[in-house]
Amino acid sequence: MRSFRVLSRLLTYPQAKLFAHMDEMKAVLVDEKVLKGRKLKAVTGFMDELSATELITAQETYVELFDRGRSHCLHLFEHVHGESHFRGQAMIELAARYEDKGLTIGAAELPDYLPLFLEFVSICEPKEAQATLSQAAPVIATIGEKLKRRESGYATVMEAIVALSGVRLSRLDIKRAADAAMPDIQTLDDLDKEWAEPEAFDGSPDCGTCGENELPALQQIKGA
Amino acid sequence: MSQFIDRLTYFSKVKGTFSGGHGILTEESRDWEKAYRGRWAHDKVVRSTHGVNCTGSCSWKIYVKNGLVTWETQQTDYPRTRPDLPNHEPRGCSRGASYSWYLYSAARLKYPLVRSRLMKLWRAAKAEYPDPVDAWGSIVSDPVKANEYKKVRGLGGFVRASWDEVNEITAASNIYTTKTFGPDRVIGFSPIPAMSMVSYAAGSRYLSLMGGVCMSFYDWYCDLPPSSPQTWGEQTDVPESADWFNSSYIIAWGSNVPQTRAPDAHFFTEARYKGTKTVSVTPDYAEISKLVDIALHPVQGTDSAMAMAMGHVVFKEFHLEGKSQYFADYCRIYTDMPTVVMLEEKDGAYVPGRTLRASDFEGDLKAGGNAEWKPVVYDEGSNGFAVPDGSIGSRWEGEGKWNLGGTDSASGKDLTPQLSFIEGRDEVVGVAFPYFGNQPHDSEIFAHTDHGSVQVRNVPVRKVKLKGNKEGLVATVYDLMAANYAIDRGLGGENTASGYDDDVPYTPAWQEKITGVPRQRVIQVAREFADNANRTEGRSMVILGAAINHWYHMDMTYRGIINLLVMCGCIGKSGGGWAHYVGQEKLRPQTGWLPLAFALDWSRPPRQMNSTSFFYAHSDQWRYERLGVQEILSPLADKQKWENHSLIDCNVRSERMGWLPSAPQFHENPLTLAEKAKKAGKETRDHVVERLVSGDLNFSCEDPDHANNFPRNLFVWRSNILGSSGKGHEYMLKHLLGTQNGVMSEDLAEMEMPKPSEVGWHETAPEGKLDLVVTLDFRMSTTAVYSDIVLPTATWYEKNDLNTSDMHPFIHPLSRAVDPAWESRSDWDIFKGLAKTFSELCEGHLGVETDLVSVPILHDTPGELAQPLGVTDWKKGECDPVPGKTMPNLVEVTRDYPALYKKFTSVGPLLEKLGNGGKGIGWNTDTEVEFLGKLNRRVTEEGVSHGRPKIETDIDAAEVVLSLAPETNGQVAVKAWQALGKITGRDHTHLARPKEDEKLRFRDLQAQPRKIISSPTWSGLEDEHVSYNAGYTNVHERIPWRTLTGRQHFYQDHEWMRDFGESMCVYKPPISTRTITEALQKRGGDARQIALNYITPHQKWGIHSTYSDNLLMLTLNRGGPVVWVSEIDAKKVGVADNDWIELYNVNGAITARAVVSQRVPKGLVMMYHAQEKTINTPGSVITGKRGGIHNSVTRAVMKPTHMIGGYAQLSWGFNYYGTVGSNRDEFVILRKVEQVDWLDKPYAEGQPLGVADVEAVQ
Repeated sequence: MRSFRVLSRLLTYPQAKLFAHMDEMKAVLVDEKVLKGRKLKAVTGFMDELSATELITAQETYVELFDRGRSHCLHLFEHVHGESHFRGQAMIELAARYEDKGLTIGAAELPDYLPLFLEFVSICEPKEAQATLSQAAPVIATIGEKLKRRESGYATVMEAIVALSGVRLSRLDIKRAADAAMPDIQTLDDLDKEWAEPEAFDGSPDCGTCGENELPALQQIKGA
Repeated sequence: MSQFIDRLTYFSKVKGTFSGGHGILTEESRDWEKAYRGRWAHDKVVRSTHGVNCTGSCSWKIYVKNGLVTWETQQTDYPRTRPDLPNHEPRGCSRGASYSWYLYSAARLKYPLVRSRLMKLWRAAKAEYPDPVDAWGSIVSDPVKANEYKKVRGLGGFVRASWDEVNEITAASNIYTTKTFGPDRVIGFSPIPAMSMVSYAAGSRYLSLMGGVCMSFYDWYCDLPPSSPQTWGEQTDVPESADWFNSSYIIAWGSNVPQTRAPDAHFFTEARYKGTKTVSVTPDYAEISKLVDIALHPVQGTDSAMAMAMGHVVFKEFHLEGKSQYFADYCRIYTDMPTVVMLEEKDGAYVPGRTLRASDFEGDLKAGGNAEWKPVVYDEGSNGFAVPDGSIGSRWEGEGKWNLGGTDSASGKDLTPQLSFIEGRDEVVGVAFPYFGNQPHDSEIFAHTDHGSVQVRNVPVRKVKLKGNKEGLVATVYDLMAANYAIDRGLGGENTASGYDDDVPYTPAWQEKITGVPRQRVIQVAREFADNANRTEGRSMVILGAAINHWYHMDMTYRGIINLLVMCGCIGKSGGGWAHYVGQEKLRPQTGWLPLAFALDWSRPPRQMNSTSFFYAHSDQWRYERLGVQEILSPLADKQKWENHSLIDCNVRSERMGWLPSAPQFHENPLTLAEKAKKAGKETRDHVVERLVSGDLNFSCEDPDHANNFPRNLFVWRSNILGSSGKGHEYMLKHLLGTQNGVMSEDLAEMEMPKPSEVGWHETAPEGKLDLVVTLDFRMSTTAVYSDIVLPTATWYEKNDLNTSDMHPFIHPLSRAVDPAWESRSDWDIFKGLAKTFSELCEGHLGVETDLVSVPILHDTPGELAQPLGVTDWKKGECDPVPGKTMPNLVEVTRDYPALYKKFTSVGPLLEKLGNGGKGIGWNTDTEVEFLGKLNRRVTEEGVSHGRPKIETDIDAAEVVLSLAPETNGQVAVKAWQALGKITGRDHTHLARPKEDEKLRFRDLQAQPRKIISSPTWSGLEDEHVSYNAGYTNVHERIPWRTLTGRQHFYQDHEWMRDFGESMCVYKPPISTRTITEALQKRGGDARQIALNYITPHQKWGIHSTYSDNLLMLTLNRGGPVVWVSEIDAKKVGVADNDWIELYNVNGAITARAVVSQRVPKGLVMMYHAQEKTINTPGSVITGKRGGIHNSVTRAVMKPTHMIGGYAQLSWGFNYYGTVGSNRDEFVILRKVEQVDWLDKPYAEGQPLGVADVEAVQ
């Protein structure tokens, strides 16, 4: 579905090209009709807002939001595995999935980079696309929630992706996940709790090599 | 029912338990094993290491799967040490093991970034000016435009840029600066080349070809112990850690080995199993304390008092009372103890003067040339004064007599230098010694005693007849030492102690008052230490560290300890000696690396600068100086001579006299000086000297706040200069960067203090001197945050490089396990790209130019015989201005700017023309260059580099180092020992012959870490029979130390040393920095607060093998900046563990969490070094700005004795000698932060930059 391509492009570092193709991209979203109603309006609204911004300001905002720090990092495993050793294996398995479809990563990017992941989704059959996306939806929703709290229009893109995944997520869970990502630590107990690690091999899916490379459930999303 | 049929024959039933219930059978899923199996599946394993500034230098296996690094483990293939010694493995620590996820972490820098305001200005300028150099000029020459981006440094606002664009901006800026102000206004800071020497060389080669300035780091970090060059003429040559095992008595003095030297700590423990006794000396309950038999806890900063008392015990019992023949023999041959010192009369007593020289005698004692540089001894055999071979004079005479053979340089006969004149004395006279321990400190933490400032003690002397029929009194260093330690020798007089309980400096009883350590313990440790050394011939060792070197008077602590080691004959002996491990400064293949790093293959000399003096001057820390020279002067010095001298004045004099380097150099562009001379029809050198004398031309240091003298461009790579290394951080923000800062100090004018006499004063200090700050890093460090351009570098698993350490004898590589991720590039590729753009863009602006380089008088060159008998200043008319003798040398260097790239990427012809070498030894290296031409191939393109060996890649560069260095190329080692043999007149080649055909290539190192080959660059051996130990070849090969006497120096006879009371080791209390009274009065309010001494030790969770913003390490600590405080002090101000607190003084403020711990003694507060202010740091209530980094409350304070130059071992060398950035005498005010403000609102235009401005607004 080309809509995913559009969303992928919107999450890429803004360049003059992106601005030049904004109308075309909008048309794709409208024509394809996979995104509907309020969600569609929100995204196109954001596209208008982005177009109206001076390019360099848009770039500055992007760097601030996505290139610096963990909070809205667009590398999905940052939120799942953080700096754990499982991350390498998880990336390898994700890349293997791309390879199953005859795709190899041609840019200097990692397999878990959201725009890249969306591009992959865009070439999947709708059903497969949804299934693939649904695994990542909790992470994406959490990033979206954090962006929303910063009043960033990029939140609309995240919400659109989640909507397209077909997954129904509890608003409360997402709120909790986002809260956990920006914890208000005041006591040593808070700190311990925040940094408590799950047992190494307790059968949880946070173990890149344990089995199917499922993206994690919401509870496993790491705060940082 | 048939049992036969029904009973199971082949099976038995599964039982729940067995072995009488001790065994239990479980049936858990074994799925978890897949995790291990998957983890161990990989495509390749690559060898690399970590380079933060870690002496560990541990080899790691990097596991790569599908082009991604999956994890790392410790390498286990180090060559075995040898029988009877433990192996080096296991090496590596948790910090190293946590490194790999920097690679893909969100903290990783992925793209070149440019400050967006600068980018806007740049693009607009480019639209107007097609030439990028003109475009850059249009921005920085317009104060409004320049201020537009400078004032938001550190406040975010970056955009990505392409490599082409960042190269264009940077090169344009470099070219504009070089053309307009001079290449010496382009500076670069990168520390510790040993940790990744090719990466260091990339930047320094680029700068050196341009004529830019490479800045020192070791002195600035204050890890450099000036006492090392003072004593040995060598900077930090130490035993490898395996040699700890050979010791039988180890004192860990201010070194927290298990915490900061984790991979080597096992040798310390293993030595204990062997029976070695261990002692620790720390003010707190540091981790080392648990590994020792005796833990001593002197009050921080008073260690030299304890060392003096130990020296008192050892000198009395083992030397004066003659307990050790070994000590006496050792000291006679290897130390300056028998050297004769002239006594000068002063106020009815005598004071020790300079050493007696051959030139003081009629006929120079037939000592041959350089008589002024040949100190004299008294020979027991001939009953007369004589000149022993081996002094610095004989070193540069070239007669092959520079050795410690103990021969008379006139007759060649054996000498028996007399240690003491007590037997054959002509007289006993009172000699005055300065005493500093009576100076009261602002804080009662540092106690003082009431003894007089001048201590006169009786010393046996001889009369001597000098040139011109003059008569003089002389004494030996040995006798002066006995008197300095105040030991009663039955010569009568006052101020000496006959027992250890006497209240006289420096007895064990005396030190008790100052250090708090019981006298019995001091006596016990001193006795045991010496007794062990006596019985084992030198196997007593002291491991010492930054903790005691970071104090203003660090020399006294270090010399106090060195005295113990030298007088016990421990230096140059296996298992003995001085083990200072601070900063990974030991670049083993040094002489192979120097030509690559400083482009010595193309032009010499390079521009190098001592960073402490640089930052002190250019970040205007001198404008806030509160320490007067008079305060630190010896009570015996001529006060008038030092009148109107501030610390920076001393530095200006030093630069002028050719002692310390200068950068920027002169008030004018050095590219214009030759042209001006030509116009005047004069030689450049003569013309510049004339103009300097007439005052027509000035040194930049005489007016650092004049726009002509600003440093303009700063490159930072492999470093966090504005953060963890930014002493006086807030002053740097204010004056160098021109951005928001927390400086609260009044300047000299506001304090109504005298202004410097040699330096121009500007009513308003400039802010934002730097036009462009470019930082290369793989993470957004504090420095990167403040930079204008941030370039993403390859990590340690993404580039090829070399790594060595002083703690083990191996050289091993960093390897490109995977390609640099995202847009990152290796340092080599980044500077190569920059060199290319520079060469292209400089057309029309810079061509072939003549640069005039001013060079200080350098150690290990013949020039170090410059100013033998006293200090004279040409500017004051006290002597003639002679470049290279009484002032800096002035050397013309031709720079072919358009050919910079071609030079960068090839080996230049000067290696064949001038040879290669180091530390005063030179050799022909044609064979090696020829070989490199074959190995790296030759350049085929036309131009200056045609036919020269190529240096295209980082591996090519590594091969240049490995081929040229004696340590990695056996045939060069033999050549180097041969060259040394010519100077010493002895054959040393047997040390390298067995390894002559050993040649290490980069791929060899990737296969396994390799032991380096013994070379004369270092004073120890890399050998199958002994562990590396410094001074080993001095003692066993009789090669002199590179000092005035050629021996180890107890006595420092330079005029400035004597004026500041440091000719011999004494106790000096911490200085008063006076940073809290004013802060308390003006800003304290009525909060509960307490003043505490502030120190910054090394931590467990970051530094050395990873950075402190590593999430895994933050997890193990408290997730952000913390400060350790004692329970007693915390209680006084109502602070509980984990409370937010604020530390402040006039220099700035810090916010952090409190760790309240019994580890810390009262009166002290500890903030671990290098905690980034980018992590979890809220606003400061006091400044209204973000809480600072640990350097925010510091300001560098320089010491005049470190500015000495032009004098044998006290001559300057890069990272060898010079002013140091001490910071532990500092005090802060600690108080609780009630309301935490994260200051997480966006920048609002017009926000005030400084703290004072905030008050004005309010």
